[in-house]
Amino acid sequence: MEALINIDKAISLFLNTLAGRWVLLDELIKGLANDYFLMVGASLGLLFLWFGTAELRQREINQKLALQAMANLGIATGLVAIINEFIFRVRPFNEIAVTPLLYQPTDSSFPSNSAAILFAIAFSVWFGNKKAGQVFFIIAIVHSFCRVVAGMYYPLDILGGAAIGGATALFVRWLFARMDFLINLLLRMAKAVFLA
Amino acid sequence: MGFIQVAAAQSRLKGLLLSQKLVVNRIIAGGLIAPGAIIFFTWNHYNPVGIIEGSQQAGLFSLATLAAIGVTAILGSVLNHFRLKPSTPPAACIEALKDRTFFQAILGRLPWKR
Repeated sequence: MEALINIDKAISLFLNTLAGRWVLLDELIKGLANDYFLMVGASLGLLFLWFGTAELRQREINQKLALQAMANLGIATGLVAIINEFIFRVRPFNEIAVTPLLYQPTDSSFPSNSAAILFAIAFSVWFGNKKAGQVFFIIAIVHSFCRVVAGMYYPLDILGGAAIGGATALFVRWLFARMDFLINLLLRMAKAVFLA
Repeated sequence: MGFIQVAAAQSRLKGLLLSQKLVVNRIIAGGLIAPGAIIFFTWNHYNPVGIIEGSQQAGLFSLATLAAIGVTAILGSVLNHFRLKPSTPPAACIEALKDRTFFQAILGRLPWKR
């Protein structure tokens, strides 16, 4: 375990060498790693999935996937909050000599909350729509990479968050299969007012 | 609203479009998306320690989405009222918005309008 943590810190230090060198690259990383740009982008991607499918049957599948993704990101966030009650890992900028590019949060570094959310969305969509899922995976990977470069997370925190997102996606998919009548009822209600 | 315009154009939901001309619609969508994207991208440049809590962010996003859908439905209905003339009863889902506005679809559902 000790060796793994040392490797984790070494990778963090290596990736963080990209920070603080070029102003333009720093600004790009700040933009991609902040709490809003790609987070809102992924959420808008779900909105696009809801409205943007021409074919009737695929639209219904995509709308169910969007609902799954929304449920999943809530569950993944809750699970991260529970884990944070038991596990606390210090942030890289408090422990090793990294150059932080963003604000410095005080909550636990492990598991990464933002990675859990974005991978939860990506896994949820990917299980039912591989092509759209790949786009969400790219968003999740880019955001997570930039967060490590910005000195906010260690790579293991990202892997932990991604694992939580994947596990909760499987759980939500299982749950939705058992609650199909409820989901169909919800979609029928939305259809009645021409929103689905 | 910009994302809804792009999505509506993609799925040919004419009743939601703010312009039936594809190029104009793309310009409108770009004009609506760009300011928000720039603000979100540069957020921490202008607010180095300013963050919004996750739950608050989710709430604000949901409210903004509902508002965008509402405004799009109203504007689409007003702008396309004379352009779209549906002659058949509306389909029982969002598919209806391919040839009619949101208000025309709702009105078509009313029993005394049939």
